[in-house]
Amino acid sequence: MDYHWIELCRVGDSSAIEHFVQTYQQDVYRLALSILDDSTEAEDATQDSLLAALRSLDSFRGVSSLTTWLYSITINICRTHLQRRKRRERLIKILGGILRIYHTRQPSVEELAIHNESNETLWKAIHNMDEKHRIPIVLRYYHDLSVAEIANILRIPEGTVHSRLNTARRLLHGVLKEGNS
Amino acid sequence: MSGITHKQAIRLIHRRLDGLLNGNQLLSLEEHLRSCDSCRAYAAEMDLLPTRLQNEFHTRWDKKPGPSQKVTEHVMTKARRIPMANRIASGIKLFAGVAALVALGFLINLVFSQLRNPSPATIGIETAITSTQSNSGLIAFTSTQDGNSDIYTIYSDGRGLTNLTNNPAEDVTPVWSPDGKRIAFVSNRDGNDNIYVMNADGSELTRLTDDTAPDTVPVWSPDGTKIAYASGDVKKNNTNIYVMDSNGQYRRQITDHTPKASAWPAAWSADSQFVLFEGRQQIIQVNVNDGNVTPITPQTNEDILVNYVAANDGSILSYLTQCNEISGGFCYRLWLIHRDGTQQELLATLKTPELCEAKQTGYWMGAFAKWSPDQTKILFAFTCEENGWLYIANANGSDFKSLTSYPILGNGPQNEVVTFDWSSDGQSVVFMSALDSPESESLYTLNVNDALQNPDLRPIQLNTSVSQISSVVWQPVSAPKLADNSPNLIVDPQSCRPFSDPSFDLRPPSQLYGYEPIRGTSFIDGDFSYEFWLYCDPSLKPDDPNHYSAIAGLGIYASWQYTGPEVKGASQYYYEFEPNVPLGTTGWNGPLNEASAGGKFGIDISETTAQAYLQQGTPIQFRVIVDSHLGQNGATLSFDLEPTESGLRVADLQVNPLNDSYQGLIAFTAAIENGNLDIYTMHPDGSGLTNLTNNPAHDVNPVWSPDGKRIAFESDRNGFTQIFLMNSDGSNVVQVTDGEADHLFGNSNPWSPDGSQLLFAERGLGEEKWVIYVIDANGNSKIRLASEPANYSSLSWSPNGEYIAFVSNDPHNQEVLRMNIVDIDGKNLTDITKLLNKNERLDSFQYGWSHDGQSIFFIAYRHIDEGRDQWIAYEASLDNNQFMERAISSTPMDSWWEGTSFIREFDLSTLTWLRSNGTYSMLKPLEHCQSANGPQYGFLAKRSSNGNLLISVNCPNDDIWLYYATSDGTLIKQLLDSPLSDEDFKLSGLVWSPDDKFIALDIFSSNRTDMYVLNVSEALADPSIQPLRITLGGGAPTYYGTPSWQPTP
Repeated sequence: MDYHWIELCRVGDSSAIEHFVQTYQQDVYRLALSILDDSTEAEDATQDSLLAALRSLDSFRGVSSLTTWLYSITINICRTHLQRRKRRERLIKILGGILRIYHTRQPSVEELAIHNESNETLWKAIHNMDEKHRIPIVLRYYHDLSVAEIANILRIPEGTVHSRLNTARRLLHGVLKEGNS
Repeated sequence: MSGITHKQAIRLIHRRLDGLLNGNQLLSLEEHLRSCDSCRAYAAEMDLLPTRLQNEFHTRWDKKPGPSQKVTEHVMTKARRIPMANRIASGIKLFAGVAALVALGFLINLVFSQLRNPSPATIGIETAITSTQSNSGLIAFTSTQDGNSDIYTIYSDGRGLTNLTNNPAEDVTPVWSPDGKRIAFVSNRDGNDNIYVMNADGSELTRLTDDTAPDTVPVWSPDGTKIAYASGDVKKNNTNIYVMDSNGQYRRQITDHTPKASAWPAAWSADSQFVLFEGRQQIIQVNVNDGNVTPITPQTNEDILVNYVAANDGSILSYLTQCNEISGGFCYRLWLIHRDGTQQELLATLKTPELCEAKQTGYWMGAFAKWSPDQTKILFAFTCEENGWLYIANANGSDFKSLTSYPILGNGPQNEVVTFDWSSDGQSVVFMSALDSPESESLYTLNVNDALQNPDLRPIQLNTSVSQISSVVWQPVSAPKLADNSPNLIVDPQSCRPFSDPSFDLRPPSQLYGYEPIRGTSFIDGDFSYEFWLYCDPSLKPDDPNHYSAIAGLGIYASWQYTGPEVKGASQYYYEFEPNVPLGTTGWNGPLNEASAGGKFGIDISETTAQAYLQQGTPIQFRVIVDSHLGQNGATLSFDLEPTESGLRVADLQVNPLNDSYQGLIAFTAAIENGNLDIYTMHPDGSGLTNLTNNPAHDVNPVWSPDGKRIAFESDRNGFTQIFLMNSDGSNVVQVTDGEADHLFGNSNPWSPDGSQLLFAERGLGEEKWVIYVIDANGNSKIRLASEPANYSSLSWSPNGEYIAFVSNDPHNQEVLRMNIVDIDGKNLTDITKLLNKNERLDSFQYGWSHDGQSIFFIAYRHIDEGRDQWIAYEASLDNNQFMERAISSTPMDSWWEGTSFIREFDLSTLTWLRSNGTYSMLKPLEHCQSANGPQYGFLAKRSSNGNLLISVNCPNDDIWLYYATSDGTLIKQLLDSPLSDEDFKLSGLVWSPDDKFIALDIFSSNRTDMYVLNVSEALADPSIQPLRITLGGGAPTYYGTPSWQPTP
């Protein structure tokens, strides 16, 4: 019954809600950032996810852990953001073709520093992976979650998680080998 | 050798990476690796990969700072209002409410510009048959909402959810008769599955079959005279097709399959002479008169037959098969064939590689197709592993595309089940989806033509939390016709004139502000929706802030006359305020027949309601909608609309001062002008509204200093959120904190008892956790109190100013709460909950100090074993960190005050004050709630400084009841003789005045927020006294909240 204070959120206890937000917003933001790789979008997704979770606390039945449940919501919201982004990118591409609009942005100092420490080949391979494979990889190796936890969050069988991780690892292994040779 | 192959070894290497190997597998792998160089090299490379990935991820993301303070503020501001808003039925409304602050500026510009520049079409009285008629009719479906499968109907606009069967048996598979009046379905209420039929309203239930074998899958013939069904043991794959008249007579078997060759009806030929069914991957037709069976399509072992339909004249069939291809994604083929089996033609191959990728696990995939009623289009539902899409194609297979730009079927608990149907006019579709909530399905409708024009269009959600929806079927209805002799409706653009004369107090409507009756509107047959608009422009009296003019009420009568045969569930009227907020329903749902051939029903929008939706000085629109469901029976309904005696009233309202007013001010956060959040003050009678900050930044959370001279608040005016102080008139603004960090005091009172110091939490740029500090009010001597990485809340000063208490998370288990005490110099930080027993946890964020500040009281939860829990009130002495068990309860204890436990059942059914001498008092706070079976109640209990309680209960029907109780519960009294009540009313905050005589109520709904003040001592003497609303109830984006009372000498 460690979740008793969640009950307080349900009945509108403002301290409990404040605590809920403070407790989980960092984790949610880190998850959103790792999926969206954009801090502004991750902030939006964090906001959306926490609000969505608070709205649906009634549907949290305690079968999975609260974190797992919250991660599921966050990932769903991030997927929506990814879809929006795809639509936006398509639109920009179309507009760019028609209006000759090109948007070039200079990387920030911070981004340049990250760039220097990063393995660009590996990152490109991760970045180009479809989300079906990228998200399990991120959950496994950034958020350090087990296959069972990932399966719970993504609501797919453990075997599927393992198979997707396998596919992703093989792909990344291949890319790295190619890069080395 | 290990006994495993290289391939197996590779597989085990991957399983090892995911921690999925058992001991034997690990031994086998290790043995293999010892003897296999290439596998060992591969394993080493793969073992390295996780490290490289971890490095890559951490390099990229760990250096990025956490969410900015604006995110925190936005979430917390909105989140405080969400839990009780959970009871708002419409998710859209909820979003509108909570999103208000995000889109303040945008919305203000948009809404105001629209209201100030109304299009000509909205001025005066407008009439139109709305486009909603294109998707009229009932939608029937199966749901387990009430515990078992029943047949439900709901109107296509989301109203009138009705359980038609309401029987403990399983009632499934509703099928509309072609005229839309009857529903055939399957039920086991009499022992085994049989076919039943009932009227569209559930009446005249008739059992049609009584076989000992299960009878299932009823299909009406197009002429409505017959029903085909399957009879036999489905589990043993042994069913045959039967046909009967639609009254259950002349039942006869028309197929004679040997066992292991089931047949069930799928469709009729258009001439009602043949039943089509599938057998061995073929479409077969059987003549219902002689049982003659003829195959239509050639037998194929390649594709899988999905479904099929006969064209209107019955001579041609179109059908859909799923390609039996392993690679290249899945696809569907659309075929045409004549019913004599000739002229088979492949129209199109519909490939969907971009939709569901080929390698997804197959068991979640599915495709279903339904031809539109006019058979010009085919709608496809594709379910993939994680979502689903609706696609559409012309009947010849051309123009195959997604209806929406997003996966409309969403992912939900029943993702693999797809159920949908066309409206009978082919304009809209209804489908089940978990689009808005992954946890529960709802029904949605979507206008197909609109969606084809705008793929981003969102569907309309019809009902929420209806579980396990299946077999959705839309009632066949024909479009309503306007009677030929119906005159044009009278439109009088001057009927509700712009209001500019402030001299009237209350005006009789018909003289100046009435409107012409609308007479002689007739409709024949069908469902229709009829609406008109009124547009008015009340004004604020500009020179007098205590007076404003409002649309005070609207009353109309609808008189109706009916001719025609009896029809049930006839008419109703409902009314809305712009922007489309339904206020209520009136009218009548009884049968229309000769005995009730005419009548008169009034609609009265009350004064209170009208004021509530008033925006100061802005125009307002009313819409009245008349809905009728006549059915298809040649009926005529005509009606007139005319003003009631109250008609349209414009009132001059005065804000009344309290009899016994509080001498200090109330400071609060508000967004009144341009959606900008500023700090305001006003007198508790609603007068003297003053913007103290008037700054484009977010200025929020004002808290008065103990001497009532200064106000602390949070502002992001310099980029980061900093703590500022100002005088009570807004002068002498001083920034207390600085640096690249955000600073908050949140829900806590930051002031030390002597007003010399402030308590707050700080989070530096790039930091994830908050750190607690105290600082001198002049900004000097900042002392760090708690630095371990955890989140903090419920900060408070001890009454003697010597200690700080706060609640934090356990760093190892963030669901576990800890209670901490620290000296104000930062020394002796102690987690006093460490002293709790292993099976005990801090249970609440609420705690209290003893008057001398030497003890702290809190509630702990103790788990004994399954089903046995206890709640304990502890007193922790700060002298020696000793616990004293003050009270114990087997039901949840909300708080403890000087010997009295305040115990609250989770379901709020009972509140108990249990005193230390064993006596107790009880309150049943829900006894006045109208909808006692509602899903959830809002509850707030706030103690005054002397421990007395103001308790509020927010009923499921949005009524708010208030109770007062002394700290020991010896006096418990209901405060108001009638509830605070309005649509979506939610109470989100209660704040006692320092003299414990008044209380400020923070109330919001999906469209507005307001503050009220109640003189508690007066209300105890006279329960007819209602709280005074001190704000003008602006709709979104106006916002009022976080009140703080000014201490007075």
